[in-house]
Amino acid sequence: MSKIKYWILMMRGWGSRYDSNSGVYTYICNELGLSFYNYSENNNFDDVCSMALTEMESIFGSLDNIPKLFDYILIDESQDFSESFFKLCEVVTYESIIMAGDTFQTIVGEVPEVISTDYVLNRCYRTDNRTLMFSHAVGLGLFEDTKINWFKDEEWELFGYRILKKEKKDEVNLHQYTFTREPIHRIETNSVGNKNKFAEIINSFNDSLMDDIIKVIDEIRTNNSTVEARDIGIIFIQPNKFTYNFIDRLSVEINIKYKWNTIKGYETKDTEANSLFITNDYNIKGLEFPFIICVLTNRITNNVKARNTLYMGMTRSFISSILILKNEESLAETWEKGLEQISSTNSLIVDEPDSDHIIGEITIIQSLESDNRTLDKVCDEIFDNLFIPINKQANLKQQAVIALLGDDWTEEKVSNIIQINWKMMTDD
Amino acid sequence: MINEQERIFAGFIDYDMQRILKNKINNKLDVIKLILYTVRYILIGHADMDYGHGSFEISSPKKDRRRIYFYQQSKESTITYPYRVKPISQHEWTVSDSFARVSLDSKTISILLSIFNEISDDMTYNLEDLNYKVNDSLINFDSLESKHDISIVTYHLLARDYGYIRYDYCDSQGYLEEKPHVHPRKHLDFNYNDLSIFKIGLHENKNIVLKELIDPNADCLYLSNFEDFK
Repeated sequence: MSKIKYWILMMRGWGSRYDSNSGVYTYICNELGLSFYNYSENNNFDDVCSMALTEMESIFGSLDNIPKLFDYILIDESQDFSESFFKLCEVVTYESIIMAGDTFQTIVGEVPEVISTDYVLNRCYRTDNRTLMFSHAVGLGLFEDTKINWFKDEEWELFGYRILKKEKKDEVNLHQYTFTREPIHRIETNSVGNKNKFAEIINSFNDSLMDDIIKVIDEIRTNNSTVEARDIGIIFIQPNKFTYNFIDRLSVEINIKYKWNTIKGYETKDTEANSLFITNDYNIKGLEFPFIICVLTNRITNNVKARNTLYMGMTRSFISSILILKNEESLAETWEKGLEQISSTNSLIVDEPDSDHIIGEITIIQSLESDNRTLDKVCDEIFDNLFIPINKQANLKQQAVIALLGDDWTEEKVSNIIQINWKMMTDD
Repeated sequence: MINEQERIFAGFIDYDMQRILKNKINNKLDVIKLILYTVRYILIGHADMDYGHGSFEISSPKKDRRRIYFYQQSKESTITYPYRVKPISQHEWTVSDSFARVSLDSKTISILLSIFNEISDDMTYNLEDLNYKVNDSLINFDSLESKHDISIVTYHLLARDYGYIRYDYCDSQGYLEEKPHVHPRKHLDFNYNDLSIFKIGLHENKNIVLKELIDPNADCLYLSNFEDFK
């Protein structure tokens, strides 16, 4: 029996210095008298957990001597935490740590190690199995020539797929796969009218995006007489600054036309009755709506992060997911064909790619890591590498990088612009 | 007299503004959010849509003395307005923070709202937590906006004195027949915060134009003896 009082603490990972119960890290620092570090550009959560472990070792001599603070720790969304956090939890826990995570939340990354996993829950109880297949397919680029990622047979099975057929094609050692997933039945969707398609693609041209979104809402309302504002979620994938203005105008349109309010998930965590939910990429987790409208205002190309977000967004519905693209006629046609095939056969038929047609794992990881940095951070790193004085940095950033690239930046483009401009500024 | 030329922008109170204005404002965060909602309203250019909650206008009797006035049923209120509003066409406006030298757009407003929605009133002066919130918000927007700019706009909004005045001219809530002078039906409230608020009662025959009260060139109001009201 532990000496710990019986209680359950529900905490975030990090927390605030001013409330010791606000996060696991904060709680441990407070209880063991460790230095507390706030988030800063130089400190991410992995760093502060590692620093805490080092400090513990120096105070207590060894990690084995650290006083235990918990009997058990249950870590939810464990895919979002790093090893150093798990280690930090481990050294202050008597019994065990139970981690629950969505191994497939990042479909474009490395397949997670599952040998040490005790239970694998590979059925999705939220989303229609066909929507899930379609979402995986667009996220992984399975309908396109170049795939974002490809898995081994046992990995597909781990993710809940059954391989119905695997036929060798051509002379090369490649196959055509026919996958399927077991359908699920949710009690609350039994009474829903069958006019709803599980998924739909719309290609919107130029200025018709607002009308197209309104038409989709009209159609949902027509097919579902009891639908309310809170039943619909709209997710904008990788919005730029013009998209935020568009969303504000869309909110007004929705308010005028339907007398529905809207709530923006990227502005508040509060929920409000009778409000239609609108959000961006960063506030998708944990969402669930009968109807989801995903809007892509930029070209998706092979942007790994956008693909993953699209997959995440499309799988937030339990009745219908509608994907609206903008000026993507050819891509919309390709995806539409794939969608029709899933709809008619309840299976996903895809060709195994050769190695030239898969975006490499290293590229994916680099892309995901670089995408996690803001433009500010990327600029700062380049400024440091080029030894550019601080008093010259703001102008270079504002008048060269932001003025020329806007939201359409990559690290390579930023680096080129800074280097060229810095050379011009310093050349006599 | 107030010159109409002083009016910089006029519009109607929308749902977001009304959510704040329908109750008595008693903290700075509500004032800040109210201002941010008006900026959003101006930027999306729907100035002719009447939502039935009343109207507002931004005017300036003197250079850089901008104030926003909210006109609702049986009450009017005003606060100083921190931003410069300029028309660029018939339906388009720019809004900028000249103190921070930042031009505001819809994305910046959303970032600022995400910061102010996440902090509580007692946290507003904790710079460390505020810095954390600014960082956190920028990450959630994958933002191009400079942390420096967003921080200055945030601090400017928090540090500012808003000079809140509310004119209630038919306020039965709180009115007690037996104590008619504790909460007169017609009165002016100064300051939004319970710790600093004070009230000046007005004779029921006296009508006030809030803009005149603010105008340094308009005739002044005089306080009468309390006995005159009895």
